[in-house]
Amino acid sequence: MIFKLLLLELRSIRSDGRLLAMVALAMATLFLSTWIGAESQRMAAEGRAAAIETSRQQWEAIDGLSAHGVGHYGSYVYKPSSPLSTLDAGVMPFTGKVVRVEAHVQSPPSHSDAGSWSSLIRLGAFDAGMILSLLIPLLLAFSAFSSVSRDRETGLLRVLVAQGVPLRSILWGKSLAYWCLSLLLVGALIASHVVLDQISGGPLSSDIKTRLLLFGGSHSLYLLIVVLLSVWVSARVSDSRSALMILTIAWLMTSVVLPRVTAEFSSQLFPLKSQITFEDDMAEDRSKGLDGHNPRDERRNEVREQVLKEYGVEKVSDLPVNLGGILMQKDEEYGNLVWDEHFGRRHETVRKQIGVVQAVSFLDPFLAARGLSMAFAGTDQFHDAQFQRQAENYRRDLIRVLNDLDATAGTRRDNGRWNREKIDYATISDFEFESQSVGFALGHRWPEAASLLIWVLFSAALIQRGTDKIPIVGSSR
Amino acid sequence: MIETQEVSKSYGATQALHALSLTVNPGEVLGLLGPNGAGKTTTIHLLAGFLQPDSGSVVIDGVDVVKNPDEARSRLGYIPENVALYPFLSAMENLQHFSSLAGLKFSREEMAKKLVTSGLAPEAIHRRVSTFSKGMRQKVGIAIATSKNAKALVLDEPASGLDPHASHELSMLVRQVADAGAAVLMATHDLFRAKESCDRVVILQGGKLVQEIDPRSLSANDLEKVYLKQMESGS
Repeated sequence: MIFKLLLLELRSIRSDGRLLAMVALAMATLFLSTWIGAESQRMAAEGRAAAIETSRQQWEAIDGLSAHGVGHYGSYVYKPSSPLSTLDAGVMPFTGKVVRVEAHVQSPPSHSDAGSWSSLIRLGAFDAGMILSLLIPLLLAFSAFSSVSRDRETGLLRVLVAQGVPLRSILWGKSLAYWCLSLLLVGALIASHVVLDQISGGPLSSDIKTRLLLFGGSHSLYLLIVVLLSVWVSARVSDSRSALMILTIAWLMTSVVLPRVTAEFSSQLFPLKSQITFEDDMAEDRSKGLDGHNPRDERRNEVREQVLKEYGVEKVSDLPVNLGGILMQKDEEYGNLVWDEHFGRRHETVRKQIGVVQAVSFLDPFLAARGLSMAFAGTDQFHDAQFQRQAENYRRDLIRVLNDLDATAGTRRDNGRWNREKIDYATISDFEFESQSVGFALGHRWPEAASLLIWVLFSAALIQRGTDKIPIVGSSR
Repeated sequence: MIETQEVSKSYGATQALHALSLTVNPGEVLGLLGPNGAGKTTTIHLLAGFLQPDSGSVVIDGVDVVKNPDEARSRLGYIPENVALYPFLSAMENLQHFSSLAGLKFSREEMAKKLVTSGLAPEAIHRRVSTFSKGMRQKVGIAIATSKNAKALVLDEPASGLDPHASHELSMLVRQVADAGAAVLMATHDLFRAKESCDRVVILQGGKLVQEIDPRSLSANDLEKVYLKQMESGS
């Protein structure tokens, strides 16, 4: 019976020109956003490749600099775009995509799109993830608000019920029909992404395929929730106008007001230090020691004594290695401890902020859908933090290699001065980003996944068991 | 059988029905007369289970409508004052759809026959109902309700929008349904049709049953006089 009602509702939707126009508009918007995303990604990839090439050329052209000098000369690492950032840019437009790597200094990522593009990006990225979670639900609510109330007002609901059709079957038929529209949009989006990817690149990896599937699946579940609740409100409220008002207010609260209030609340509850304070505190800890009682000069003297003892010599000029390189590396390692401590605290604060949002997502499925969308697209804060961590690891490896070269690549002259060998820096490899698996995304976003499933069950229960108080005749009788 | 026992229903402060008791036996057509707001449509909605009574019981063919509405509706045919159909379907597609929802299956020939019997012109059977007049939609509604072969049939001013010929055909059809063993309750303002098709007529006023009449013992004009007299004495 539900299938018959579903087919009939689809025919009803097909015969409604306004609804078809809305679907066509939504589809065109999704295609456009995907195409814009793909173009942006292509341009970003080209820019990144050119920047990497330039950095490489500069690196290989280094001549006459000591290894330590090269450490100060530094290099850059460039954040690659996630293959699915065309679908959901997430936080990436607002976070830096270039990190300068050099000795002694842990630079934050810079050159964000939001900082360098026009002010349009500040209004939010025009991407499929945002359209699916913000715009399509509104269109669905506008389409479904009168799905039952209109039938009640025309009397069709009475004729259906009098034929012995249970109300819940009518509601399921209508809900599933509107959900089919949603699936059509999500399916077309995924297909267009796959086609664009095939044109521009090669075959999708299994991880990307899984991510794509989960991206579409999570949005489909969110749209199912929207559809079930819209149809239920349409059934429960006595007239179409009230249903439209309730759904519009609900959309505004869950998609606009509550997410912003939650973000503000979480940052008030767990405030982050400003970048300047963060860097100042790190510099101070590096200088004075993490506990404030282990200043740099004392640490250097301790290392000097250890090295002399290790090589069994009295003077630095008798060492078979360059003490400067060893001191630099030891200082670097201390700086790494300081960075780990501060970055760890900062990361923990961000985690707590996200935890607040995840908790509120049990009240607001929009937050759950947004979190999952960004996570499956590989563009949320957790994925961004991975880039920062990998960039820092690359910096550490690079500086360690340079400091080791500075300490060992050379010979001691008779006058005690250290004679450095000429070093071929071209053998040092570029930064390579190791992308995270879909398990990483799921591991961090299970609360949102649980929230979405709970909301689906709750909405389905409303349709299945909440029909007792649904009026069959209008208030005018 | 259609039966209401001491049924009361109010909408907020407005008492729509006061302890209404009615019985319509199988094979009988009961006419429900009364002015606007007398409680006729409320009675029909209670019988169809669209509304819940505040007190009293409503029974269709032995099944309590409040306790078991789906089962009760499966034994009931219903024709509203304004029949709503799927406008993008033809008359036959509408009949096919509503019949299949009720678990019935008819051949195309059978459906065409039912529509024609309900008064629809054969050339209109395959037309979209969005092009239909109110009377034509009413005829499709009649075909849908009667094709259930239900034990009870309730009609809420079914002749509304029908031309005199179609109204007469409807009266004949209602009679046929009753003669086949169904209990029929018909709310109407049309005294002439009530006289034509009803075995008994009751007058509702202010939610109360105020008079019961045997229309066969009166001419249509006399029936009107009785009705108007009752209205004047009631007001």
